[in-house]
Amino acid sequence: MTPSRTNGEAVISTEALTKRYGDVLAVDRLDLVVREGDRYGFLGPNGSGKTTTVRMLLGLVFATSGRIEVLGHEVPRRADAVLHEVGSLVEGPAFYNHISGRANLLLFDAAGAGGSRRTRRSRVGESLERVGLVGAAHRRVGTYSLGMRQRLGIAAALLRRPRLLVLDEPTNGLDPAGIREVRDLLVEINDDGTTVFLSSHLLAEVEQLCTRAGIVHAGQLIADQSVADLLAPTGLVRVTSPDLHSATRADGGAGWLDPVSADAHGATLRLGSLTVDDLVRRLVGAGIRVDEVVVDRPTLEEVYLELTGGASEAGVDQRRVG
Amino acid sequence: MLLVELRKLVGRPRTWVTVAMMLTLPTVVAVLIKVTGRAPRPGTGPSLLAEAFNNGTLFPAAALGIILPFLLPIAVAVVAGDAVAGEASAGTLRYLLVRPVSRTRLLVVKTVVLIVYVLATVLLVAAVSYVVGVQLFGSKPVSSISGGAPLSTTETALRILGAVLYIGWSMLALAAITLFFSTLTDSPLAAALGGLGVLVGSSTLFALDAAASIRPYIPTRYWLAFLDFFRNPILWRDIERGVALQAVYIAVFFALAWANFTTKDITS
Repeated sequence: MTPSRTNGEAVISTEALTKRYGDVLAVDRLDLVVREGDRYGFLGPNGSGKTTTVRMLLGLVFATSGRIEVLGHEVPRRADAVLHEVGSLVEGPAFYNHISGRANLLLFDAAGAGGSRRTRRSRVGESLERVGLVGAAHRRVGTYSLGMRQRLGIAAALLRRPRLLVLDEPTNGLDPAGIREVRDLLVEINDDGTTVFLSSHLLAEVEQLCTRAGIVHAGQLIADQSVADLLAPTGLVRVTSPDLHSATRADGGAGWLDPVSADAHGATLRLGSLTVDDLVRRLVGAGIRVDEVVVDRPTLEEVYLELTGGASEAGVDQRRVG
Repeated sequence: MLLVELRKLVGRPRTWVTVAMMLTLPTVVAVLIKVTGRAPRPGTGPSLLAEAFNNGTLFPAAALGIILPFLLPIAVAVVAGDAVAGEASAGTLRYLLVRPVSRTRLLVVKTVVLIVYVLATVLLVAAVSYVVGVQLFGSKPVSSISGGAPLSTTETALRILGAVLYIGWSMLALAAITLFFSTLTDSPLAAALGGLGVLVGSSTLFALDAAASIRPYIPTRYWLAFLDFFRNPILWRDIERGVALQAVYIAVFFALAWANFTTKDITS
C-alpha cells in the first residue's frame, strides 16, 4: 500500500477555502493539497463539507472566499481549461434512463469539446470494458441495478483518460465483489499515473485504497497525512503470555517492563525506547513465556473517531483483546 | 453540443407526443367541419376557419390559430421548463457542466434547441394542415381575408413563412420567461407551471376590461396578430408592436436567466 515513488507537484490545492450558505459555514478556511500520483482519501462525517468541497473543486459551487487551483489553473475562473482533464463522480451517477448505457456515454462524450469524433466509439467501448459493462451496454439505463449505474458512472469519468479523478463515494451501492473490482481498477488507473481524489465515509475503503488521507470535520481539515503515518504503531505491544499477569516486576525493578494493562492472558506493554526485538529478548531472558506479540496500530476508525470527537474515549485501554 | 441536445430532443417520446397532438387537433377540426358541414359563420369561431372552409389553402393559417392559444404555448412551456431544471432533477446537469460545458454555452444551446423545436413544429403544422385543407376543402387561388386580388403562390408561401416566424418569435418570449424559471428551480414541473402561469395570467388579464391600461404590455397581447399577414395589404401595425414587445421580454428574461444561471451554485 505504501507508494514507492515520490509524489510530485500539487494537482489540487486550496487556500483558506470557505463556503457559507446563509448562516451555515459549510467549509471553513480549508487548506488542501493533493499531489500528483496520490490516492487521496477525503474523509468526513455527513455534513462535514466534503461534498461542498468537491463541488467547489469542479466549479459547480462558487466559494465565498479563498483560492482553488486544480492542475495548475485557478478554478472556477479557468475551469474550462482544466475540467476536460478531470474525471468525476459527484453524489452518485446520473444518466438519461430512457436510452442505453452506451448511448449515454456517447452523448456524454459528445457534449464536451475535445475528444475526436472518430475515436469516440472506441473510447466508449474501452471505458465500458474497463468497468465490465460491455454485456449490459445495450440495455436501457433505467433497467440497471445501482451497482451497474455506479460502474457506468466510473466509465463516464474515465472516458477522456483524465489526469485527475475526483470521486465521491465511488463504491456506493456495490456488493463486496464490486467494491473489490472498483478498488483494483482505481489502483490500476493510479499506477498508470492518474491521481485519485476520493471522498468517502467508508473508513475501510480509504484504509485499503488510499495512500494519503485528509479528515474533514465541521468544514476544517483536522488531519492530512499519509495513511501509513496515520496508522503508525502507537508504541504499545500486546503480549500474550501465561506469566505476565503476575510478573509485572519481572524486570527486577529495572523499569523496562512498563505495562499499561494486564489480564489473565497477558498484558499490553509500552515499548518506550526499546524495539520489539529487544523487548521480546528481555522478556524471554526474564523467564516469561511469550506466545504471541502484536504491535498495536490504531485502525483508521479509531484515529478518525478520536480526531472528530466521535468517541468519548478512544485508546488502547478501552479495547478488549479477543 | 448542439447536435447532442438536438438528439436528446428527438430521442424523447414526449417531443413526438406534443407534435402529434398539434397535428391531430387541427385535422380533427377539419374533419368534423367537413363531415357535419357546419362551418363557423364568418367572423365567429376560431379565426379564419370560415374562410378555410371555402378555400383549403387558407387552412394552415386557421390551424395555426387553433394551436396558438394553448396547445403550442403549453408544449413550449414544458420543453423550456425542462431545459435546465430537467437536467438538474435528473442529476445530469452537474455532469454536463464538469464535462466541461460552459454555462453560457449550455443556455445558448438549450435556447437554440427550443427555437428549432418551435419552428419545426409550426412548420410541420402548416404543411400538414395545408395538405389536409386542400384535400378536404379544395383549393382556389388564395384571396386574402379582406378580399382584394388573389395572391400568387410565392406570395402565399411568403406570408405563411412570415406568420410562422412571427409565431416562433412570440413563443420565444414565453420560452425565455420559462427558461428563467427553469434556472431558478430544480423541478422541471415547477418551471413549466411558472410558464403556464404567465400564459394563463396573461390571457385572464387580456380578457379583463379593467386591465385595459396595461393590456399593451401583456405578453400574449399581440400573439394573434400573425393573422394580419393574411390581410391585403398586410396590416403591419400590430405585427410591429408584437415583435417589439416580445423583443423586450426575450431580452429581459434571457438576461435574467443568464445572470442567474452563471452565478448559481449547482447543488442538484
